[in-house]
Amino acid sequence: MMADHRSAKFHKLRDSFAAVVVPIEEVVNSPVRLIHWIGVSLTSRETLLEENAQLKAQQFLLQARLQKLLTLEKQNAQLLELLKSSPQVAGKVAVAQLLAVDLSPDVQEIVLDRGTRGHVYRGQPVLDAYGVMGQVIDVGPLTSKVLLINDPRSAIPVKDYRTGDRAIAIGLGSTDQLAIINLPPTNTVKLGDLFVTSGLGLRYPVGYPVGVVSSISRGVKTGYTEIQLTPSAHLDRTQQVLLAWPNHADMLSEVKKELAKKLPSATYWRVNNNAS
Amino acid sequence: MQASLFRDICWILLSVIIALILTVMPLPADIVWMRPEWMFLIIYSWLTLAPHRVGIGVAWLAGLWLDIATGSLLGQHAFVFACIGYLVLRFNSRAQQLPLWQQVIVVFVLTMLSAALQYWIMGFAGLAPATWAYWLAPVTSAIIWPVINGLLKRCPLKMR
Repeated sequence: MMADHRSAKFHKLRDSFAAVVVPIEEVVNSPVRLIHWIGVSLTSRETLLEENAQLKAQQFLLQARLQKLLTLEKQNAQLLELLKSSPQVAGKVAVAQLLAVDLSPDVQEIVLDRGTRGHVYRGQPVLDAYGVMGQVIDVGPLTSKVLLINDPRSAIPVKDYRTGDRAIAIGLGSTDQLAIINLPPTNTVKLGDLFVTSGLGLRYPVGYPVGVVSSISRGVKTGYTEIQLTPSAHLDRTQQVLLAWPNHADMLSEVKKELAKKLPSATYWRVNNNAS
Repeated sequence: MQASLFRDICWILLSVIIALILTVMPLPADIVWMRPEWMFLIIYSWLTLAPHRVGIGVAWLAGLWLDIATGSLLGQHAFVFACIGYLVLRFNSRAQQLPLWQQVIVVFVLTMLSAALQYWIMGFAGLAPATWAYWLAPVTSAIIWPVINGLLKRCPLKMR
């Protein structure tokens, strides 16, 4: 037990044990999949035609917006070249499905159906269509476990999209809110502000939405502000997640640029340009 | 391997696998804390029904498999099952002859003890659950135990 809690090398050994429970997880997951398959097979033709038309319309709109995105990307690359910095290369992403298994009720973790065979690594960021979901903590040969951002053990470096204030978002456990800590007291955070990843831990790629401010309470006696975020990702409703393989060198250069910027409240952060 | 030993091992393995499946099955968030500790109940039943087949070693292995399946600290359940297995084998040889309500009380005491030991171990690692609902599981386990015991008694195993 002590080895499991303390040593990272033991974790590699433990991960290979995960193969022993894959059959159990498959058995639990298959009724859910079966019910879903039956539901899909028995849907009426009208419903399917309607859904098809809706999806085609949505795809048409998205394609149109995508054209604009390609132009913007090209412009961005040109501007970056003008500023003599290297253009961004999008890393690889892959889709994984959730397995319908429940681990201990007091931890917020999910199990994915991709493991070392699918090139998943420990510490890999996991996103859904709406924001950051968490990071991979255990990788078996065929499955992996993800720690969600609302687990008390999770902490993400974030920054306010509007003001650029940097902070850390920690999970609060069973509530679906995140708490913001380490925000400088001279911040100007408002309700509805979006917090995105700042990339400072070199774990999560920069700029992905983490949450929107849902409550700010300034303690009159203590003087501390308690800020809570509602996560952008649909943590309890997603069936599929995106696994990202961010480019480490790009993340490093982004973080260096970020640290070199001067913030309005930066007079008391000592900007250390030698940090790597 | 003799035919009867093979058959017994199959039944025990089947019951352990079913316990694992019931343990990781997804439940709605309102009742997930009230899930009985299936593996504990099945191992306890085997220890009192067929101690010549299921001993402390089997209890430890079952606890280890449960640890891997639920992602808890590796060895937490294994250690607790082995301790309680020892208590059961040493002091509980005539448990099956007691009246049913007394057996349920014994099971309740043992599940509470198991929950307390696990809470202690998780506390060392900083993983102790912060909710009182954690202590509901022993209650539901004790309530559902007569059902499990009745089912397992009907297995065609060589009982003591």
